[in-house]
Amino acid sequence: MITVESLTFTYAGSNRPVLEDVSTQVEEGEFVLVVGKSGCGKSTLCRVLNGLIPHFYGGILSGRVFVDGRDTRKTPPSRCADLIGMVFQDPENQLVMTNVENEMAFGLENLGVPVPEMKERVLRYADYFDLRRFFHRFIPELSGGEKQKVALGSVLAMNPKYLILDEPTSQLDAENAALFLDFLTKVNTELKIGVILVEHRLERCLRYADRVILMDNGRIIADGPKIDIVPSLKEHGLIGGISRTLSSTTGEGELLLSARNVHFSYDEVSVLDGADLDLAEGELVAITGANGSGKSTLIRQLNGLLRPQSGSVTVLGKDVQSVTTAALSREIGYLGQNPNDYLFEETLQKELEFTLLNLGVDEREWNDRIEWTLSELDLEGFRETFPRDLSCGQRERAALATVLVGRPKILVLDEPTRGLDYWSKRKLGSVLEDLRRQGMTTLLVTHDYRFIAENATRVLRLEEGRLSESSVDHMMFLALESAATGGT
Amino acid sequence: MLFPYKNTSSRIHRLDARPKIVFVLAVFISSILLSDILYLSVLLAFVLMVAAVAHTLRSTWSLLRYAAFVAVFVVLFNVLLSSGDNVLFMLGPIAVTSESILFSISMCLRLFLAVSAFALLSFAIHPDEALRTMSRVGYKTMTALSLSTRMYPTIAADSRNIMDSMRARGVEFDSGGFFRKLRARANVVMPLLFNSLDRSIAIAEAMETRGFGAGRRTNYSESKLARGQKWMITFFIISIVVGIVLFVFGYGNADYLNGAGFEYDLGDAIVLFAYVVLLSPILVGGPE
Repeated sequence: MITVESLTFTYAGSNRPVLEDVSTQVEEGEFVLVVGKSGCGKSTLCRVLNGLIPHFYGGILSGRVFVDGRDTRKTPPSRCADLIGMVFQDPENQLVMTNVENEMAFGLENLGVPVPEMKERVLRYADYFDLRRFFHRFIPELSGGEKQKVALGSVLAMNPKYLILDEPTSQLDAENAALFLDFLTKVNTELKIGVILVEHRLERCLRYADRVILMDNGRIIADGPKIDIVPSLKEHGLIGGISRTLSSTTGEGELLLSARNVHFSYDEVSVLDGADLDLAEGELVAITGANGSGKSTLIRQLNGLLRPQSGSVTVLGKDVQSVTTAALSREIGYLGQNPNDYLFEETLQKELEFTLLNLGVDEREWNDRIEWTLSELDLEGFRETFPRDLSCGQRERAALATVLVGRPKILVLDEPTRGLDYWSKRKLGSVLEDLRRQGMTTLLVTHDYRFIAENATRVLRLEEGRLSESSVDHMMFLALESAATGGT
Repeated sequence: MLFPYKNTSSRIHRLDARPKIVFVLAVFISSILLSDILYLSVLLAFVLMVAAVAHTLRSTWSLLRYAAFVAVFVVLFNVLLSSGDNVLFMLGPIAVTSESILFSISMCLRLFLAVSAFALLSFAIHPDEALRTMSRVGYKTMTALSLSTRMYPTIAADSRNIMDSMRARGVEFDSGGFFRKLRARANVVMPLLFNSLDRSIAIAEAMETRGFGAGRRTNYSESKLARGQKWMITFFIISIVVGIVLFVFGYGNADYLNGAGFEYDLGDAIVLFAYVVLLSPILVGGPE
């Protein structure tokens, strides 16, 4: 059993506790879901349970955590590894070796498991997770979903009694997330391993949990069987219906962007095969499609990050073949999947000034533009903040600010809701709607049906290299279906 | 794919990492001990033959092309600064001597030999195997090296994504002069550094929770060496000893700056032949 007794923790350099007087217990074989807003202390709680706090992260800790009687203050995480395993958010940042077989053996080698037993366990768990078919594949070549499955298999091969998962599906699309959660349930029910799952997409995982812990401001405010906690979840806005206020449009404004018969291949593998796209002023168009269908490839054609091998793309009358991406950035703002790629200056203000300087905007306009951008994105209070210290949702908006400050006419966003919690997504949705009302045209690629259903004016589906019209109503149906089944 | 290891099923790839590492070590040491052009040329040809058997000749050739840039500077530097009496021709006020040319060739061959051996280490030994073999010497250092190899494609992708995000913020990487391009590329350094630091903290956390550093560890691929492979290692170690003895007795060494030329006798032929024979078991490779 894991026992947490009156735990309070403050990170070094901070004066506000992240966890405050937290007490709980987790039994072997339980499936516990830990939920709450970004910054409520969920991830810190995970790190306290396996001793990463206080051994890896410094700070002031009071109270105690016992894992099957082991005091985590006296036992470093490496010596708790036989009891408690952990799967992290980003599959890219938790795999150490270069191929799957060696990765699965890594933890066992560290625990000093005898070689014959190690070989048997690696094979058993590889079969259990259906990993044998890419046993010798290079890990960098695996997809995000495959990598996360390898991470789970590698941790479970160590035979832990408890498994902690810190938002393990936040980087995965709905389909891979559902597959991952199915495996997790199998592990919990068949192997009787205690699961502590931190997630904010309740529609994905609520149905799997026996018990829910709801956190707010570093405290546990509700803890009990799922059925008893549901009213609290509703009260805190964690579960609820889909709200849509805007009407669907078919693009009646001025035509700003036009792509015709776009073809593109990687190493002779055709990704785009005659894609056509029209984008009119004031639209918020969502593109959806299966993983690997070429959505990101398509939007990178629109600002010249990739060039069509045949066909044409015209942005405000300019052929993308004849201008550089930097020159097009005055007309079309592009936000990639990782907001961190946009944030490196000391303050958010300097970050925005970097864009304005590169775009050659007259310095006298800078202050007005920065003020407008920060106010639109509700970031006025963070003007002098180091952007990488912001929360996940704020960072996404800060990255968007670095593009928006150039006042482009079109915004192109690649998976803008990836890793965001419910509140951050709602905030982003309202920002995009507000910009749309001011005439901004937005094109976004996402797997998030709910976000599309609530915010898009038009939906397109990319399939076999071509775009076809879909409907917002269909997205609404998929979002409701996803909420009902906890999966796709 | 930016990962240097080539996953082919050549007989060299099938061979255990241990004899391959000792072979590479033997070639490295010989590139330091030897200076005679004939000796170095024969060894270089032999190592390239091993690369051909390992199907890594093309990749080795790409590395040698980079080494050729360095070689150009080696030649220029020696021609400009080395002395000698046998003037071949004048380059303005500079006398180009046969001594400086021969010395430059010898230095370049040493460089090519070392690079070719390094190529074998990179392209024909799986990084995880190299890690496991060398972990007996220093496990933590070797893990750091393996991790660098594993993260290389990720960091390269990060770098491309950051460049794309910079382009979307008006940074021109593809136009303007050399210094403008250089300044534009310098912008990538800070976000790349921040991303890499974030990644390294996350990886360190993951390693801790998987028991890294918990105590005495076991080795997954603790395979016993076959007798033939033990003999291979013995031959390669003997070749290192022979190389040192040759160095002491002056075989394979030529002081080109003091007028040494191409003078060989039967002893040289025997020694060179024996040296190659000691290294040749590598061509047998590993079992199917």
